[in-house]
Amino acid sequence: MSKDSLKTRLEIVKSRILKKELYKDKDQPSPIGAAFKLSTELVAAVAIGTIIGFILDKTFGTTPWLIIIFFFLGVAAGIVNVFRSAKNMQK
Amino acid sequence: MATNPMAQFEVYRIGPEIKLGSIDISFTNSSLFMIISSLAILLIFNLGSKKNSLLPSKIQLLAELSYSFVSKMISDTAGSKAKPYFSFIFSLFMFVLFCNMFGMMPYSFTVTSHIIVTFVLAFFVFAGVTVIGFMKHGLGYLKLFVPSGVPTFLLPLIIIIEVISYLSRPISLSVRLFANMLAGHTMMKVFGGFVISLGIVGGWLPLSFSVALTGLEFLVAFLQAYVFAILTCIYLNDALNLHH
Amino acid sequence: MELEAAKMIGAGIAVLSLAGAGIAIGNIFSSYLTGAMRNPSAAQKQFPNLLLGFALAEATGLFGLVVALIILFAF
Repeated sequence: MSKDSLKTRLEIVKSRILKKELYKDKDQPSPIGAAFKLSTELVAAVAIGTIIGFILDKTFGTTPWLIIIFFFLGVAAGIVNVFRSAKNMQK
Repeated sequence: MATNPMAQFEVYRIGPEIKLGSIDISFTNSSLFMIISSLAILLIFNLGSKKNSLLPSKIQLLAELSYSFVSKMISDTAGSKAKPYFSFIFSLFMFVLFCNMFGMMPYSFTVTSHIIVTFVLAFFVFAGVTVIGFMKHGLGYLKLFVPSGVPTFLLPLIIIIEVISYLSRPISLSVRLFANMLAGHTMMKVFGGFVISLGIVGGWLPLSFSVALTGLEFLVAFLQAYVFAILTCIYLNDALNLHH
Repeated sequence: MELEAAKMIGAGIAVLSLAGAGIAIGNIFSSYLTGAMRNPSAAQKQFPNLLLGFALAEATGLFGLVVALIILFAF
């Protein structure tokens, strides 16, 4: 019984190779796409942190301290995001 | 005609003036040379990895040599745990190397000769290493500041000294690269000025010194990129493998 | 004393730190050469350490140069 199922699985894989569909279900992203994803995560986190700090500074009127604090928070958040998504991509 | 030797470091605007509120973010000659360096890196490594033959052509040899150089550097200093960070350190090393080398061409602009560029690079390295250390070891990362085998009454002093030396890492990393680039290019311009002002009679002496200095500047450009990358690997080693 | 004169004197004193850099670089290279003469086969492995030590010593001297430039152009 198991020999038959192995044979059918072999047939399926052979037909997929012939149709060059072997990697379609694994959904591997292209390397350029992966690189852009990682870099946009870092840049977006830093930019959003700085913008939040800038807006809060304008409403509260404190001098550049809030911009600096939220810049550091944005950098840390961006690096944590990059680390996590790189770990997910490696699995 | 004697211009200031510091006039080569001036950042000026190219093209239209783009303002975001009150902040000027127009395209400058600094951005232009950053784009040129990135495009050169992309071009060389794209052409070098197109066809992988067993007997490599020259560009493929170049790409493979730089890859193996950086890979050996990482595995020597930070061990096998730092393999996932290879692309980061490779991009950092290549960017600083190409920016330094493009600054050696006549009439070009050295991107890394401004403290803001090197400070941002060094700050992101420092922040990245700290965040990675906290993510991997939790609060145990603070054990980095307590070296083993220290008598207990010296401990507060040692901890303060260690914290200060840890916090001075981004400053030293950035100022090292910035000062080397700034000093080298300023000296080249100053000696160039001497050649002109001494004229045909005594101009040969500064000219020969300028030739030697240009050779030294090529070496310093490569060496500073290498030192930046290897110090990043050493800090990464401190964060990943905790014993000092 | 006026500001310009004080700036010049301050910048001149600040670059004296490059003397320490010169001594340090000479020390590093001399110990590398001594070690290489005694054990030539092991010398090639220590070459990256030589470059690292040279760059670090040079950097410490150049910090003084940066202070001199800051005094001259930023005050």
